[in-house]
Amino acid sequence: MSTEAEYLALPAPDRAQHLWRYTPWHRIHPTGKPDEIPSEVSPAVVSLTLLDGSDLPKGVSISAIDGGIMRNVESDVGGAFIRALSSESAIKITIDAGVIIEQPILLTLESTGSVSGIQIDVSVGANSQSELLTLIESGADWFGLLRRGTINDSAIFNDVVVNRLGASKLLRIEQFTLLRDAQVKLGTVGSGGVQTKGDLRYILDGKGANLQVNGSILSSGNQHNDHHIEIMHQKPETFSRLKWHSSCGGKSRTVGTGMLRIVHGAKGSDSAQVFNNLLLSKDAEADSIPELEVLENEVVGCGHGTASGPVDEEQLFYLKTRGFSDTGARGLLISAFLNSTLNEMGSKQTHTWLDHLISDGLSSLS
Amino acid sequence: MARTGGFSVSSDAREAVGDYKAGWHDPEQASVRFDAGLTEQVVRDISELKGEPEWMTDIRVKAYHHFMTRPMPTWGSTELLNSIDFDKICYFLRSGDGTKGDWEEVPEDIKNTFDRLGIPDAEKKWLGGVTAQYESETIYHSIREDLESQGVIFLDMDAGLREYPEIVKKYFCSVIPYQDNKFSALNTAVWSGGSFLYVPKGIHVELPVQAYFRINSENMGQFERTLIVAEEGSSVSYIEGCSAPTYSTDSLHSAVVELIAMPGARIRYTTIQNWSNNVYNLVTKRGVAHENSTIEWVDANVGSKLTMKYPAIILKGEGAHGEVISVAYSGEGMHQDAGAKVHHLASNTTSKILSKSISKDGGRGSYRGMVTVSKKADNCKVNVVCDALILDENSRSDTYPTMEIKNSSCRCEHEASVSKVSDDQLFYLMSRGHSEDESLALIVNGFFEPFVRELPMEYAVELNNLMALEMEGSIG
Repeated sequence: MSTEAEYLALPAPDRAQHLWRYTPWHRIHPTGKPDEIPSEVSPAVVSLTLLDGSDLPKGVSISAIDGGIMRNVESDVGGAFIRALSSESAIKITIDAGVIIEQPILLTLESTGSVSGIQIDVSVGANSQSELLTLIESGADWFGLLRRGTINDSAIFNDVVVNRLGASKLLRIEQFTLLRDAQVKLGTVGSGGVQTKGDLRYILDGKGANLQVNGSILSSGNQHNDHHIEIMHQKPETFSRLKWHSSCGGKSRTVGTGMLRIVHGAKGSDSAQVFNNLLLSKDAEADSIPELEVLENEVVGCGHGTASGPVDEEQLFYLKTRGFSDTGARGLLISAFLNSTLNEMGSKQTHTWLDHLISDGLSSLS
Repeated sequence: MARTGGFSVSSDAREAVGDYKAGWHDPEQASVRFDAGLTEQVVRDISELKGEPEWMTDIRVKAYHHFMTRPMPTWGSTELLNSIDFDKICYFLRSGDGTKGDWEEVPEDIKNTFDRLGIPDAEKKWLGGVTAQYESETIYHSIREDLESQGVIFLDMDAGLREYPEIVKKYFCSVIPYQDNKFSALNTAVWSGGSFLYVPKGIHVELPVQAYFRINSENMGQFERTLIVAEEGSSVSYIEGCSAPTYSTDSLHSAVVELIAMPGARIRYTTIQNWSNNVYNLVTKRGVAHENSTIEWVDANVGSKLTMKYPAIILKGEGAHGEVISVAYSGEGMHQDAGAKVHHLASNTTSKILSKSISKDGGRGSYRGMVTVSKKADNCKVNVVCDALILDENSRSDTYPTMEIKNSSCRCEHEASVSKVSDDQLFYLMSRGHSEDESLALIVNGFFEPFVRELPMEYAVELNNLMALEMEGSIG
């Protein structure tokens, strides 16, 4: 069956599922008509270098893959759609086993044309240490990013995806599998695009796997940011933390839905998820659904929390008494709120780079 | 006498029904029993039998058509929901010949049932009024004279409709329209029994009033309808309990409860749900709280095959407060899908949800909640806490909370945790001379304590005893 036929054979997703509750499929679809697959699709322009612009070191490679990424999620409408429209645009990034790369790797994806999409397979070798920063930049009206990753035994891997799209829609679908003792930090920084729908799934499939997922979302204007994050503990003694901070200004809407599932047999799992929303304007909206499904009783802990509220008046007052203007004080508090997750995303180099990237967005908010 | 959730059961009855202490049944002695299955004629016949006004018949028929066309929910325990065979259920069964005001006039076998459950005893000691419903209709009803003289109306719903049609017409379906969901449509179509409680302005009903619901027959559907209106500045506490025999076939309990708290009023609605594990318990409960009023749902679910129940509060008036405190126990073959919903529509409204659940012997406990804060509701405060204990490796616990915040001045917090009974806690108690079972029961009672302290003392003691019985042999 062709990838187009595979997509068209799937039923429309049910809005009773939290994944599709706030952003129904037709809203994020490029034409709004789910039974259409755009025929004119422009490939994304890809560049892969080290963060300082130098060439890739030995042990890191990029190659094209024929036929795109295989997906095994039967009801994955978004993934099937990106597969259908970007079969000519699929790459594989390989980090060899045992290599240690001191500097972050920067993958820049520049979308072109009206509709654009790409599939990326990330393979991180055992015992390697690396950081991958993916920067999605403006161009197309609609951009689809489908990623699949395997983090092999004992690898240490930081991954950050930054959305810097202009007036575009972004559909991001990904699934990463962590094997034994892998230590992974996955970060999402969102400040661009008019509409973002993310379906991010992480599977802890090796004993002792350790995952931290962080999000810093800066919403303003009429932006609609909807991220669904699923973490599945499949093996014993796995650890995960999800921390998602969203600041919501203008008339924006920010949605965070999480699913933390501990399967039967995943003894000694330790997991927690937190969604925090900072409400900055009267018309902003924040929705959170942090879900838990626990099928194992021998867990170290499993919890979740969510909190939504405005900028703390006492903190604001304190800063103003120290000479900050109202705007300056607010900007500082918003920055601190977003930095608390940004800080956790990777190395100091990564943080400096990220901080610089979002400073423009912050000044527009405050 | 062995003790159950709120009531007493004789030891011979216990032997007859195994672990579930209210699972015996009496021979069915129906004076009217409709054939199984639901048609428009059944709906019209129920209405005619009760001599209802035309408007009620009309609303029943509309609700019936809505029920027939509305699809089954696609969330929750869909497998169990889809296994309900609506054609096998009896939608109306009358035992005895009407509601009695004197306990001695109640037919002997029904009286024995409620005697076993301890209802008359409770009435004498600490209740302001009692309604006992057996199958589809109320068989006994009483209210203290002093309350009656103050204008408090406490009737079964059928009598309420007969005697106070203007009040019932004003509020019936005003909080939960029949189009709300499939099961509210079903209830509206075939409702029978339930309570009608009206508290006039400024009256405080000091003692709680109680209703007890009992299903006795096999394949029975019980569809009681309860309406409570507390006028300005009044207060009332209502307690309901329920049980059913253990059969190999399933029964359906699908109630609708509507609460209206006028400005400054306070309503507390306490439920101790102890259905046998062949009962589907699919209930819609919702209250509207006007200015500075308070609605509290205190909800214990310790029985049933599948419970889907999310007591809701609409905070409509400024300064209103809502609270939902619930516990759920999921044992073998049980799925407790319970939770709470609070909608903040007005400014300065506050809400608190506390949910505790325990899963054991392969049971599944799910918290499903929703909190919304509307754009116009300034300075609202929301606090949600869900805790779950899983006692063995075959059980599971889920949490599905939804928070939709449309106002930037709102402070909203939610936290949840799932854990097991820690070995350290057990070891500590056992080192102080308690057996393993006693230690576990103590820990579980401690876990439920925030809920239990909200109950009248008689209920609190019974619930603790019930949980201690359920915890026997849970470790190892």
